[in-house]
Amino acid sequence: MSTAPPAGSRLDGTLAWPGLRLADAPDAVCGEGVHRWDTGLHASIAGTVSLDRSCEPPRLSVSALTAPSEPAAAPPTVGDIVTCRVIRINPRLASLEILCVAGVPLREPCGGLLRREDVREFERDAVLMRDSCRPGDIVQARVLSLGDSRAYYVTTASEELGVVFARSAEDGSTLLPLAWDEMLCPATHAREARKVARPARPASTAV
Amino acid sequence: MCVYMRRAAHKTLRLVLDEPPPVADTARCDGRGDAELRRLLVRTGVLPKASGSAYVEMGETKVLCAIFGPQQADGHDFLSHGRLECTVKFSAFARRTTDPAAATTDASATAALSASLSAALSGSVQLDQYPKSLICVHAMVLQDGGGALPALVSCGSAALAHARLKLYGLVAACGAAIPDEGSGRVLLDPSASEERAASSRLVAATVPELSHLPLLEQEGRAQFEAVAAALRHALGGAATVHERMREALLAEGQTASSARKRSRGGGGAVDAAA
Repeated sequence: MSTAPPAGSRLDGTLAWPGLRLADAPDAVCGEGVHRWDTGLHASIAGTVSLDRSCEPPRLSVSALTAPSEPAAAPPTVGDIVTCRVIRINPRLASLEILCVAGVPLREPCGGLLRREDVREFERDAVLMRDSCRPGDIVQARVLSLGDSRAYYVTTASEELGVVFARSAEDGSTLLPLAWDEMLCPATHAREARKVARPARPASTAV
Repeated sequence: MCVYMRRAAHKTLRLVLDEPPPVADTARCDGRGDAELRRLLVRTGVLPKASGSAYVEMGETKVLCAIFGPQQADGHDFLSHGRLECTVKFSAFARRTTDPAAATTDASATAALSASLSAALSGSVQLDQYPKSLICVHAMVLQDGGGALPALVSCGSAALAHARLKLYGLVAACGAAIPDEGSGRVLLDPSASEERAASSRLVAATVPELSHLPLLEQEGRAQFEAVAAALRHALGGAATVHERMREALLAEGQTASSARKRSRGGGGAVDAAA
């Protein structure tokens, strides 16, 4: 394999390795897996080149050849939907452990922080953390910012975000969602306050 | 030590490097030519549990590298870019002797190798794409037959690429030795005995597409022209290593995709791997 870049029209479908110069900078735009170095666009990963001519200037991207044998998520970025476990709470915030990013499990959990004012969209100052989530709950949240060295800042201020799984404080049975702010224990019929995520609607069957 | 070749120094070195190499006097102990590499093997994906892995053999030197990450970096200040941490270890059977005194020299040798590996590799990873993250490079020298550092650098870079991390380029390295201070003869990819007998040793790592020199280490006594010739030889050897690294990275994907096509096709004739 020579180090000369393939000609522009034959770029699509060719193989690239990190550092290979794909095109000159004015001729195309960087997509996924392509970076700009000096006056050229170079591949960032080893994989197949694809040229998207639908946009002007065309978008160059490189996609990896194989999926990893044990897929592990990349660290969360702003806007990702993350699945977390609540570790501890205090009146101002809840400490979380981020387990999955967009449904893909992380190799090692990282820290998350849910502040009181990020729990819901309305009456943000009147939130009681104790009635929003409890230690041990599994929460679906969205990453707000990279936060500090220890934790990402997340938010559950949306209908689809909030507690998705919780156990009853009395007998440990799985709580069922009742409303956006209540869950029901099926054994004791006791109601427990949580900020509940709206359950996903089942796929409608065509009649 | 990171060296970026400035334009003036680059021009001067170009003039020196264009001189022809000296004539060889005696044959090398393994029968190679002066500018011949040892048997080279590069494989990626040897450790499925790691994020990325690679195995490199240069002659009798066998090096294994595993990448873990990017993962959350604990106990450090918030960084808008990632960190690369390299650790080199020698296996218990890496050297010929089981001399207990070698263990203490190994500790300082591994620290120096870890620092050199870190210097060579950290510039090749797009660390600004991985904020707050730590990328761990664990390298182990299974057998040291000479030229451990060049093998470690090439292996580490191949493993980083296999881990699908965003890189600026693949870093390939090669060593050279100047056996005699006066003669100007240069031996490419020296074995352990040639390294011990040499008056000067040189290791160069390069990213050929970018004309980068992330690592250049030279020790011992030698004439300047011999060092320049050794650098030229080492860069040529590194280009060959770079070619093998590319083939290994792309071959793994091609065999996997052809295996998927065969399994989808069902009971067709199995053709030989390309």
